[in-house]
Amino acid sequence: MLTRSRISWTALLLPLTAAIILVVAICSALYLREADQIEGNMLDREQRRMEIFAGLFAGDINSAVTDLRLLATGDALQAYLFSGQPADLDRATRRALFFSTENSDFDKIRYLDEKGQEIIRINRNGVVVPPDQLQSKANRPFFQKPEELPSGQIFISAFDLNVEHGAIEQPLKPTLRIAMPVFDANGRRRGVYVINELGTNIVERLQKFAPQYQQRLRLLNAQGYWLKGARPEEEWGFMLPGRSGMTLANTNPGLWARIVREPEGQAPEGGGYFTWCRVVPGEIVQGRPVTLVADDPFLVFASEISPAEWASSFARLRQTFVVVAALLLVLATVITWFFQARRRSQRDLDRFFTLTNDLFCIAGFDGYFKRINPAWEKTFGYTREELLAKPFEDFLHPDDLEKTRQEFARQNRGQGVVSFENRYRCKDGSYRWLLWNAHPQVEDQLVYASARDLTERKQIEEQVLKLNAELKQRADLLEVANQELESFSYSVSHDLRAPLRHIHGFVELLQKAPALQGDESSRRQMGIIAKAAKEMGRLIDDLLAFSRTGRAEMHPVQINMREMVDQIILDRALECQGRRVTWEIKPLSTVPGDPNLLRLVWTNLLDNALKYTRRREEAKIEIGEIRDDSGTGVREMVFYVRDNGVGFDLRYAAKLFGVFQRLHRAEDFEGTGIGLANVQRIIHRHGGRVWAEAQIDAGATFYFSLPLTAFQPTELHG
Amino acid sequence: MAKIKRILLAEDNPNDVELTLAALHECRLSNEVEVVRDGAEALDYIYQRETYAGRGDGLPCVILLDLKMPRVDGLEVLRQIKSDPDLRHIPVVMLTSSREEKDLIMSYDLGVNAFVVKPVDFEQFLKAIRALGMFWAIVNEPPPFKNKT
Repeated sequence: MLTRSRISWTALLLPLTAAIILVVAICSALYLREADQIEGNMLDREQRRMEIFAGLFAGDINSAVTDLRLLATGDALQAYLFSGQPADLDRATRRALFFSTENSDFDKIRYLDEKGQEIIRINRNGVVVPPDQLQSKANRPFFQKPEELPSGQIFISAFDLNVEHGAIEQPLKPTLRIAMPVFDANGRRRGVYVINELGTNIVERLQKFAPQYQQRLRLLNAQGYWLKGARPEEEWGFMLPGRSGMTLANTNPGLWARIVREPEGQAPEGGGYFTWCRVVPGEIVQGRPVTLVADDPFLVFASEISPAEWASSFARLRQTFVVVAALLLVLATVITWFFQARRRSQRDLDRFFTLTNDLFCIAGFDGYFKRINPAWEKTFGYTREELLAKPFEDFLHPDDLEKTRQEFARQNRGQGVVSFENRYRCKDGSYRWLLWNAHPQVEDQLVYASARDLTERKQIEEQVLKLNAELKQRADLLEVANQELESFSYSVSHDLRAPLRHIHGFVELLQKAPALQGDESSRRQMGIIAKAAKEMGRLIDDLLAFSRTGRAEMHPVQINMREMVDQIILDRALECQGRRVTWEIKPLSTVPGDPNLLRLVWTNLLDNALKYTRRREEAKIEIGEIRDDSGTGVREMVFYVRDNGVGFDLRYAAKLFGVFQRLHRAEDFEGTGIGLANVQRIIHRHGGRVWAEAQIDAGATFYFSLPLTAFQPTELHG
Repeated sequence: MAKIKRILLAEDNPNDVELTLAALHECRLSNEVEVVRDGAEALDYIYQRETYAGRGDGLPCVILLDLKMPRVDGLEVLRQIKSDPDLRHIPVVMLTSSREEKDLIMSYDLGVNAFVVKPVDFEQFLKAIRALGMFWAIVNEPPPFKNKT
């Protein structure tokens, strides 16, 4: 599975560059090969074409020669030569006419007599020139030269422009003249027969071979002048004024030199390609009853592929290859990216495989580890070789052997396992617990597994169990202690009181005894005993109550504090008779708490307030509450009891809530000193706090807070 | 009509007996007090068996029970009395030193009529006994009994 993490571009860069280079190299090589191929083909074709053109030209000449011979040696002319009769002339003319109409290449067909006078002249396309327009051509080379030729030799003039009346005929008429001497039956020279071949036709016919030859076809003569050039302005330089320099010899001497040297060939020329094939007119017809004598040593048939054309023929190929290269590059990039991603994810996996503290492994169905991560060595202390060398069974705890075998057999059948535990032996002989997840790949005969070292957890579990057992033991002991305390308290409450009661009771009885009625001092002493017994009783009661407040179960309910306080005050109404007591009771909320215990608290605080204000003319006792609005929501309620009694010295405030601690003398104010300790204990069990403020002789305020959230009642022992 | 209203006092401690009797004497009720020293004797008296077989003077109008007594304790006596259909109407008052909650609960569960904790202060004790005596022996209308002879 490929990760979706970003592949770093640098990681991509190197293989990508390599890919690019490879693709470019291959494509270039292929391109060059193809280009070479195309080039080769093109050039081959050009070469062949030129040869064909040369051949065609030769064919044209040949056929013209044949026609000429027919006319020159034909019986029509011979008859006229013999008789000189106009009827024979007519016939000969008609024969010539026939050829003219048959061949539109024949610009002129003429018979000139031995003086060079035109006797027969047929102009192009069968136009017979009447006798009054016939001219003398005695001074023309096409008469003079063949005049001297022996029989069997035919003259081909140079390929040039026709001259009429001493001027170059316009429009330009490229012409090739083929002429042969005429002999009569007696072997006497009787003049020259001439055919003017129209060069344009020849050239046009060649051009029609393929559309590209419209532009490509070239014709040069032996001096390098263009007979058919790239542009008409370059042609016929040897005849037209101002063009004498327009030869290939001038423009491309190197190429011309080659052309002169080699009868055929190809050469790159100015970005394009030049293909040529020389034709030697004189050798067109060879080894037959006639030979040609040509003015032109040779003619060059050529194809000039312009640079643009040359380029464009590769353009298509180039385009194709560019597209192919682009596609390949894209492909290469994608493949590279995939490979990198793959490698990256592989690397990621490898890293995790190596890094993890969990134990990863691949095991064969044969019972051996095939591949393990370093965690194995770290955990167990063996080297990798040791672990791979033996079947993994060898490392198992003997007790786990059977169940592991069974589990493994299940794996071999194709079932995975989750949360299987067993023990493996470390190098040092100790065992560690492992928790396995495993999954088999049946086709590969392998099991892929991951294990976690449970040993710590097992140890912790053991510890926890042990601690729990200890805790239970302690709890049991505690329970026993509690029970003992219960019976102790019971004892105290019951058994201690009885003797006290007796002491008190009998002393009282004694006091009433008639015999002692006059004895003041004895009665006083007995009074002291009685009081002492009463005091002790009170102490015991208070102690018992104090102990009970620590042990009693708390039953939290919502308590209307106002009601509770009202009730207590009502109960004290009797006591307050004869005193001026002003109760100022502010509104009090309803809070959760144990009603019995909290009643004790209020009772204690109110009794104290009453007690310590006894000396006041008017006792003012204020009861109220303070909300704790500290912004985090109301979480506790603070209640207070404020009196205008004797107060106490704040320096000794720490003792206030101590057991049996008092800040006043017993003869001033009675009390055992346990009340406030009780209050503190109860409030603490509710999760609240107690504190007090006072000034000597200026009264005291006692505060206690109760949390408003559901509290967790705690048991305080002791 | 002044019928003899007997008070049965079950108390093992002689001092407490003396004190209680002294207190009842103050209320002029001491003549009608029968004292038993433990729960077994109390039951014997009520059922008129053993030493009290054939006493023939009816059932007490109120039983004052101490909790802690040897042989049979107050709670057991209470249980027996209150589960006997013939006897359960007899008012029983627990008179004991203990104010332990569990004793209270047990006693009331068994159907005790009143639970009085003996105060240490003799004056208070006097008052309490007087009130008890006055109420149960004089004010209260006892349930009608079938006389078991």
